[in-house]
This record gives sequence, C-alpha cells and structure tokens, in this order.
Amino acid sequence: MTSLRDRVRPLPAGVLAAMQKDAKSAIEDLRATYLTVSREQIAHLQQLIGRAAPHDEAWQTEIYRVAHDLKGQGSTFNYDLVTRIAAGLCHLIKDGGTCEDAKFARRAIAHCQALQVVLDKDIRGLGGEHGAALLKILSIEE
Amino acid sequence: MSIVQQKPQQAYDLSALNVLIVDDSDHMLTIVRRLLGAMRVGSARLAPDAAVAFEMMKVEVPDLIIVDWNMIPLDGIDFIRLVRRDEEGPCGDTPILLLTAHTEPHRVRAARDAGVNHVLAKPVSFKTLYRAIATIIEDERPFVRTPAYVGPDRRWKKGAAVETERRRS
Repeated sequence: MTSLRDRVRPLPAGVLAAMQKDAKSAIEDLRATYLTVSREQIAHLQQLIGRAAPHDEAWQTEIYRVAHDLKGQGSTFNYDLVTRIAAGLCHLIKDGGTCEDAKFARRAIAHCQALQVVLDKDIRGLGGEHGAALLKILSIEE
Repeated sequence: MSIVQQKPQQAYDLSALNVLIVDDSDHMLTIVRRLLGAMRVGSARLAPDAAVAFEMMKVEVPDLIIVDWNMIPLDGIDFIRLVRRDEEGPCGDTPILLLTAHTEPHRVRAARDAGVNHVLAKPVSFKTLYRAIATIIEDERPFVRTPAYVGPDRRWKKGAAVETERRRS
C-alpha cells in the first residue's frame, strides 16, 4: 500500500499553532462567500418547499441535498446553530415529509426562517439562551 | 480516579504531498483546499466530480484522495469502490479520506467496506482534518486485496474479527 508516512517527516509540535492560525485566517477569508452561498441555499429551500406537487423522489433528493450542504458547513464557520437547524430539517425530510403535508411544510418553512435569522443576526456558536430557545421552538433536541 | 491525558498531535511536514479533492460543491472544494494550504500541503488539485477525478488521477497519481460522500451522479462510495477495484488504475491503493455529514454507523460501515482509509464527519475544521490526515499517516494496517474486498485491513486490532464476519451466537 502507498504509505503516506514515507512522504512526510515529523516537525516540532509548535508548527501546528502557526498552521492553525493560518487556517483561521483562511476560514475568515471565506466567510463572506459562505454567507452568500448559504443565503442562496436557504432561498432555494424555500422555493422547493413552496413548489407545487409532485414532491417526488427527485424533489426529495434535491431538498435533502441542500439541507445537508447547510448542515455540513455551518460549524466550519462557527455557525453551529446553522448545522443543528439544518440537521433538524434533514431529519424532517428523511422522515418522508412532503409539502402536500401542511404540517411538514409549516415546520420546514420555520426551519428556513430560523436559518435566515441566525445568519442575519450573526449568531455564532450555539447562540446561548437565544439559540436554545430557537431549537426548542423547532423541537430540535439540544 | 485516573486522568487520561490525550497524546499531543504530532506535526508533519506535508509539503511533498499531492492531494486530490473530489467534491461537487465549489465552496467545499475551496474550504478544504484552503485548510490544506494552511497545513503547507505541497499541491491540492480540485475535481468537481468522479469522472474528472479519474482523468486527473491518470495525469498525476495523488498521494491522498479526499472525497465527499454526497455527489451526483457517482457518490463518494461508488467512487471509492471504482478506485479500489480498478486493478489497472494508478490509485488502487492510494489512501482515501471520505468527508461526510452521514455519520450513522451503517453508513460508516458501508464506507469501510468500500475500502476507505478514514471517515471524517463534517463540518470540517483545521483540527479534525489535520487529525484525520495524521491518522492515515500513522496507520499501520496492511492493505488487503481479496475477491470480496480491496482496501486497508478493516480490523484496527490484530486478530480482531471484521464485524460483518462475527459469528452470532
């Protein structure tokens, strides 16, 4: 098997701190793009939720893909609440929800609105009491 | 009560590494590339899908492949199976790191059975990505090639049974 070990050499542990500092700076550089992309994804989700039937397999695949993308990037930019809310939306979709079900549509829209609030208010991390309240409203376990 | 101290992370010079990142999200490709840049990885090439990745692998063999699970038309698991099963291909035994927000045990087992070296749960951060790469560097498992499975030995401990092969009493 190709060994990565043969292609690298150990360095003093202190180097990691410098690397981490650079990584933090790189992520900060990408924050504006992240916010733009995430807002587009939330708008796309809202469109999908509002779209007339049929809510077939292709519809479910697409809505899940977008929610999943939001889940997968939030915490990288310290928006842990985005990751949690998007994970809640993924669960709703996986449970077989379609927008022909009014309850699903209401809950899915509420998740999108909550995602929008987190980004608009720039709520970092899990958002303390406000974040906990938001998760409770959406019935997402902390 | 004893306190277990976590071993400090070993730092590595990754400047000789050539990494191929496969993801259909432009933004995710950029995030991973920038994190690898911070780690001083020598070269990071980006592929927006499995087909482009296969072409890039022919041009230059990567030292490490980082692939996302959620891609269309071929997903990360399909990609790993094809890489591992392509005996004529240049990357049959290249280490593969799978990024995924799917962390349910049955999905991790599916990734392991496809021949992945390591699964990293999203969201990624510098720390988690670095730790995952270091784990692959330090991984001493042999590479296995059998009719049923190609990939790193699925048993992390010598002599342990692969879960799917355990007898049920």
